[in-house]
Amino acid sequence: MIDAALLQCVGLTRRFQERVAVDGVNFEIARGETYGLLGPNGAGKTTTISMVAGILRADAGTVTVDGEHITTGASPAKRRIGLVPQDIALYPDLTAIENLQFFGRLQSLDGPQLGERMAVVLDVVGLTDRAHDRIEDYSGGMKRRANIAVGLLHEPQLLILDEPTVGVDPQSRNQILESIEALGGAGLSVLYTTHYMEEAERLCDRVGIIDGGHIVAEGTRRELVARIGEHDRLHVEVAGDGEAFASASRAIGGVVEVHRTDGAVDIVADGAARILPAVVDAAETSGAQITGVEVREPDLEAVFLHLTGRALRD
Amino acid sequence: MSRVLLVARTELLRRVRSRAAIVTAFLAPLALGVVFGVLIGGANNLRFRLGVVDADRSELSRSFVDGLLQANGHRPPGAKSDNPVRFREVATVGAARHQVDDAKIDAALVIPAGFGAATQASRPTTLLVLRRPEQPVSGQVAQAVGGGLASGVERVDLSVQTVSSLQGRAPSPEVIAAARSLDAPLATSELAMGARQVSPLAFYGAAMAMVFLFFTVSFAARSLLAERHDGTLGRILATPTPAGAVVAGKVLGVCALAVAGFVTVWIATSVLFGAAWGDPLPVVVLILATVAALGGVSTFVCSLARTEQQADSYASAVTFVLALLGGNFIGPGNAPDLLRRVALFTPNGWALRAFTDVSADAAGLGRIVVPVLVLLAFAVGFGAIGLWRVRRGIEQ
Repeated sequence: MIDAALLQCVGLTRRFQERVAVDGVNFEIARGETYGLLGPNGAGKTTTISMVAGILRADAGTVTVDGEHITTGASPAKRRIGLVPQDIALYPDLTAIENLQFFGRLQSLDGPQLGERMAVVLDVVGLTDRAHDRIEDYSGGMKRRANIAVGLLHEPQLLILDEPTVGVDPQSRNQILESIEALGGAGLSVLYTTHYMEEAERLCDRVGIIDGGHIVAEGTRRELVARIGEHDRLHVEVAGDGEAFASASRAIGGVVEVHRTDGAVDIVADGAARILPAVVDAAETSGAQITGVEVREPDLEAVFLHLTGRALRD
Repeated sequence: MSRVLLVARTELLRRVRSRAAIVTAFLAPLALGVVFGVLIGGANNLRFRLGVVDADRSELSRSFVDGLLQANGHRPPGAKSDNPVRFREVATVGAARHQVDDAKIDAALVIPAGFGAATQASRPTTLLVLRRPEQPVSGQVAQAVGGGLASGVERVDLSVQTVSSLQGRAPSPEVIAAARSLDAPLATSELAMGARQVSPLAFYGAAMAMVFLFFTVSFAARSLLAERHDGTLGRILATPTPAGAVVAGKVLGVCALAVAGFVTVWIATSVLFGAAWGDPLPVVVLILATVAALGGVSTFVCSLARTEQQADSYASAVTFVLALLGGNFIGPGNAPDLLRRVALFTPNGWALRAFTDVSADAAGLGRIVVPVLVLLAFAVGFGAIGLWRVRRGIEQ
């Protein structure tokens, strides 16, 4: 348990009819910490943060922010949370200012305080000049930034970002990631969901790997990578009989794990360079053609593969 | 500002910016109300232009024609409008044919030469009616006018024959002339009950406002479904705002728009077209009660939908069924008896009946208590279930 954790989630569970979307999820976020929920689509990330934000009722479990419970009603503790949903959750027929005024007032901001905060967040996301334009007239990247501005407006202690870079061009994506890094650096606690391993590695102090509604592992990048040892990962793209190639690779000395993914085989091994000739031989004997090889340092993708047997983007 | 009012204000702002909402709430009901009121209302207020040809030039025919021409300016007791049949004397039968063919008159009644002499001698004679084939009603009106003359002649003729048989000789021409100048002992007169005079524009203005009002108030539930899909509802619920406040705010916002639309139709048809809606106070009460009732039904109907598209379909289907059953497309007093009974199962049927009473009979608040209570029952009954379902859907 983290001393003086800002967010505590204990035993969060949510079912949709017979399907259990989130099953007994526990995690905590310290003040000033950026925590990533990393998992593929459908892993339960959005359901989890919907319960954390008090949008969705939990079938079991509790959420507390700074010691106050979050519920689906008019919970005052919700003022401590800023939510940036995955979709552009803004009214397209209103201007950025009108959107900020509406959501700001719902957070009990008003008068000069609201005006000051609007000016600050518009400056942070670089939309001051376009503040009086309707959201429907914004580019995709500008909409994303406006979406973030609303989440920051009331100076929350915890900012929840649900896959904020999905469908964003590389330039805007980098801008968004830099903004989040700056916010984390300024002491804001951040809960960040993503299925992009590199974003989690870049932004998050700690990562919870979620799959099938469970957090299957949690820790810093270093702690998570240590779970699979200091092994290299050989990502081999193959044509032909990939299954036979995967089986043949398992027999190579020094190979720890082999996972077959779509059009490729991932081999976790001690010393990738040393076993590479044997891998080529295995491909030849099994009737597969190697179309590409990449040696990767141990990363969260490898951890996820190790823990679930699936790639993050499966 | 309370969260309910904040949500309502934002909803109203968004609706006002939406062309679809402006058309639905203001333009469409006003346009259709005026079109229906003028076209169908015109059909209920038929007017005829009849020509009269006096080819006989007898004293009898002259007095008859003069009587018809004098009737042009006559207004029956209790009637608000002039005589719907206007007479014009035409010199010859040929001229009358031309005027009928050219649609300058709707029909013509011809008193043939020798008519007076024939009636004096109690010989059979015939009045001629000229009309176009597509104007049967005008011809019937002309025939009815001729029938009035014929029955007067018959009455005098019968009297003369009776006196002749009793005295053994015919009465003198002076006595016969005196008999012709007497009024008929039995006459029929049309008198509308009370002061009931339904303004077609007021009726169809209210009827069309109600049809589109149902669409307008369905914006609330449809907006919630759209916002759930777009994520803005989730963002609102992530603030300290209860689901009930969001629902109440949405309903309040669209009801304000619906009331504004209804009031616009009322004022526009009254000021621009002279529609007589009746005393303003009961009209305002009825507008509010109607908006509440249709808002309740609409919220319930849309609460059954899971997507905005489903809600659109449900709202459209229920709107037209209610409009048909409630009599919104059928003019005042034209609905068959069964439909009038069925209309009492619909909120718009009750509302239309009350609007008609206020318009036609200058009914005050006392006369519309029952319809208003029924409308409020629709509002509370359907609205409560609908709101509960919508709120439960949000919280789940």
